[in-house]
Amino acid sequence: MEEIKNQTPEAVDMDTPLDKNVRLMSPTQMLLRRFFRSKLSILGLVMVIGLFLFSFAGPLVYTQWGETDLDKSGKVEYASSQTTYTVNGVTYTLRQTLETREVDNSLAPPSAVHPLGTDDQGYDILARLMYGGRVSLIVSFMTVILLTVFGVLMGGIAGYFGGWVDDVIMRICDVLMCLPGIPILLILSSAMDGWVELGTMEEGSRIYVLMLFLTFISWPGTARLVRGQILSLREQEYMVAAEAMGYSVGRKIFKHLVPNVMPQLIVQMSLSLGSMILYEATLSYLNMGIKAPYTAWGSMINIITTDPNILQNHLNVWVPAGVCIVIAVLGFNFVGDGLRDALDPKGRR
Amino acid sequence: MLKYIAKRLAYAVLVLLGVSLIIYCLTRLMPIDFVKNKVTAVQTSGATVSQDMVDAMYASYGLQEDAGIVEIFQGYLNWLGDLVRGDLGTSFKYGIPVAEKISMHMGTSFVVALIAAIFEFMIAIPLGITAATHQYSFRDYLVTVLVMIGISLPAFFFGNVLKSFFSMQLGWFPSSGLVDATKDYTGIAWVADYARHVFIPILTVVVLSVGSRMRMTRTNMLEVLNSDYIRTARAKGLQEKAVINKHAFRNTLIPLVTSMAGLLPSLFSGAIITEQVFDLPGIGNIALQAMNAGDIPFIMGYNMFLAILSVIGILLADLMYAVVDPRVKLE
Amino acid sequence: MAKEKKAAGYLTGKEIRAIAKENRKITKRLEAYKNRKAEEAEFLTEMKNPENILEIEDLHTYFFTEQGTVKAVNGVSYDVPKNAVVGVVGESGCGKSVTSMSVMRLIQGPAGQIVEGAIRFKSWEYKRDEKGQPIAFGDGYEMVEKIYDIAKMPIHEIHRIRGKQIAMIFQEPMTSLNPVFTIGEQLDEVTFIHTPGATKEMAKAKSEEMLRLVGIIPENVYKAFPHELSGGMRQRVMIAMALAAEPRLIIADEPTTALDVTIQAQILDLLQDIKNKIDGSILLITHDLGVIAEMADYVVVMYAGKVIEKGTVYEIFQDPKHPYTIGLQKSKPTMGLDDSTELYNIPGNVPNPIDMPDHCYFKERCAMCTKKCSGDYPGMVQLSPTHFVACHLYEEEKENG
Repeated sequence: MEEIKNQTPEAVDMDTPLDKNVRLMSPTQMLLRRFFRSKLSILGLVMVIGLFLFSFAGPLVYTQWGETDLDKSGKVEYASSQTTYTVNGVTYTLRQTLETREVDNSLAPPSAVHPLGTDDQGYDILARLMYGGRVSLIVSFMTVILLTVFGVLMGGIAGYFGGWVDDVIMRICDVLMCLPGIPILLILSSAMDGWVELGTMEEGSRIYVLMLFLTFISWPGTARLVRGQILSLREQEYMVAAEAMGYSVGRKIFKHLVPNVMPQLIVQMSLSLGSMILYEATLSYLNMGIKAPYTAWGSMINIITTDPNILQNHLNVWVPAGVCIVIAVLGFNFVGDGLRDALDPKGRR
Repeated sequence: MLKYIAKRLAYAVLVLLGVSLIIYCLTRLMPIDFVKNKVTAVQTSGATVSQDMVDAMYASYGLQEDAGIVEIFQGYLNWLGDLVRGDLGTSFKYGIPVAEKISMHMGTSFVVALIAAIFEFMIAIPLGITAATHQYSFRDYLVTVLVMIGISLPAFFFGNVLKSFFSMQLGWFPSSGLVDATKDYTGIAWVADYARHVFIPILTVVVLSVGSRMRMTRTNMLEVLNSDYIRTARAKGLQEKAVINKHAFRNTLIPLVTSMAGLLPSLFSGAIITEQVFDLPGIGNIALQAMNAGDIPFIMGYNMFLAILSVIGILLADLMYAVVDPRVKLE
Repeated sequence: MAKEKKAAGYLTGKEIRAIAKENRKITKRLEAYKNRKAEEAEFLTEMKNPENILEIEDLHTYFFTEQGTVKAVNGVSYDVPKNAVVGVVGESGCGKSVTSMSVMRLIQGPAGQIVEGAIRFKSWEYKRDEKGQPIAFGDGYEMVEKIYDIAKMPIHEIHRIRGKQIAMIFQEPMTSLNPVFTIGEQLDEVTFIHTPGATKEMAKAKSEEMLRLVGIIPENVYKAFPHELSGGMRQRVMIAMALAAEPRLIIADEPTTALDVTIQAQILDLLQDIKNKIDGSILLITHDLGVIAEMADYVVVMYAGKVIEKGTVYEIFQDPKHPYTIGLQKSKPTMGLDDSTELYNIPGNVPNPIDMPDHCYFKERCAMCTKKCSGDYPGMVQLSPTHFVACHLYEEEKENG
């Protein structure tokens, strides 16, 4: 044994390490691979991109009708009547022709001129779908950005400073989370109606105020997520190490905290996109969101709340908008779910 | 235990105070003239609203021009005082006390929600469990797709599609209301008629809510199946069926039962959209109509009612957690 | 240039897809084999040496990950003789636990699969009639000895082995007991599963006997929930649970790793004590050489999914042959030596187990490396009737002498 121990190693080919051939996936590859492994995420991505193209590039291609172009080529009908009467033995025949003209070509069935027909006002449905999509997508995107910024800020403050600041912010979150979503939004929309009616607010700014309201009731979720992450990260060894190394606050936050919160935040954002579309659509359906002459997908369905005839006989008026909403929400949810699986370190197959 | 409950109750009261303040302030965002217009509209449409009632409403909701902070706060305190005494005010659209109106319509909402919840759990639990035990199989994907569709469907669209198809095109079910006004059914016939009316609404609610419950079951079951104690159960020599039905299921039940307790109060709150679509005389639909009429007493009463229900729900879920999970001690 | 270098270390998209496709194909086939219906004759076999209770031969257990195939167990062979304690030692990730999980068939599919090899086990079980009912014989039941190849068993037949024939004690006592059932319920269950016609009283009596055996007063613990016990107590309960069905083989997978040092000693004493009391063998898996020296009769040293040396405890500790085993011995702290002697450590790390070339896996870290080490993987060299080593150094010795 002693001899073996003292043996000097012979010259061997030490240049070729054993795991020379080992190649792994880069982190990005791993993420992409996990995301695209699920067919549903791909489907979701296709749906979302498709809707964006439809709404934003669509009107550039489909230029026949604009958002507020009414089809004035109303139907013209002639009704003729004949009256016969006798005066002094002579029989006269009076032929009377009445021309009835409807100004707007409303509720037209799908045709070459209107691929999806027209609605009760005489707007082209395909064009309205595109412009409505713009409004719905912009509202949901802007709201998600707003609520994420605000939520991250509040959650960050609560988590970073702790103590009474944390207490106050978290209690506010508790209270806001107990508020019933749709009824509160209805009150707010009602107030907006009041302002518009009295002229203190312009109809055009309605969608911006709506975004603020949606942000107001939705930020606590994000704030809680960020706060929870920060609290758990503060306990991690590498944060203690960063502290010990004397890193600046900014460096700690941007080098360590942000990259750790990001994955969950991205998932939360893509799932929020879906729920914001749903909120906006529901409000618009109840005629409490986007109102004429502007339109959103939800507003296009509103007509069936008052007109059962359209609900029953003119499916082309309201079904396409509903399908768009479903595709949008489903698409965002598929993408969000795929991201969640891809970013979850435990979800390895 | 009692101390814990008392503490939680005190906290719940605090949260409700905050909620009431927010609801009050939001309502005051409405301009007074707008409310005046709405009230006039209701009056001219023939509802019996005395001027006294309208004045009382203005007084208690502090609807006056140029109110300062002090006035708003005073108004809030007045309203809160009434609230504590159980007086939610008088709805001017319906002409009766808000509390009375709410309790009148709670039943309908409750029946629909309860039946829907029963079906929801009966469908979601078995499907969620098979999806988890057969992860990555065809049925897992099927369940995932169903889950996503359920979560993504807007209630107003799906409800209207069902209504248009089953009630209007096929004529299988009545399209709205709760009873057939032209008939005077009693006994079994009444039940059958009632069932025909609520079938599609319940179907709507079930389809919309079953998805998230299924996802919850699946996620929990997966987590449990990957735990060490399931490996122990297998190593003991238990057959796979027993491992899942006894050891895994008992653990999956913990969050399910807690969520069930949390759900209980919300059964009374009414589904605004579904009730609107099918014109059911449930509390959600009534509230929506009140909202359209600018019936401030009812709106505030209803929102407070919802907030109280959700606070009770959270409380119940917490208590239930301690009952089903031996690890949790309430202190 | 820099970019190229970076790309060289990573898989390309095409390769990733190819791996995924290949994995799906293989795991699908293996899963189907695992879930198949089979006649008993298909997985009955014979022992090579009738003195053994467990023979593992050329076992390959792979994990088919999206980065490539990890050969966690790569041709492992060792035996467990009757009434002996066999210690398996090695660094973490060397495949010692995966081997024991393979014996219990607890490898998580579809990624983890037994690909090849035999796990022969001598089972002593109730003779059963056509309906699967045990045949009564006097007071008890007629017994029969059967030899199974566990690797070939369909997964739904595995309950014949688990618990009753081979019991397992796990590394993490804190999480290995079901939190929602009482200790009593979980212990009784073992009797209910494995004893035909067991009653509640029988099960309780048995459980209490087992608790006493592991040094717990049953009255205090029988009705308790797992979270009310400390880690050491829980591990005792786990041991009681393993003993309850009187298995022929107990696999203890790092039973003390997760415990405090003082508790570790208690649990080891308990295992030592039990070793003398039961009529069965113990397969002890650990990375702690001290534990092995104290408990084991035979030792198996594993490195990167392979057995590199095996022999009696005397042979391995007094006369280690493989440079890795020698290194392990040297890296053990000893009292009373000159303070200036630095503790020896084996340089380098365990190589990444994906797509390994067929050279000795230890060659990079080995101080006694020769030219031959860059050649084929060394075969097992028999040095004594019980001592085997896989190293090129001794092949020559054998040939020359």
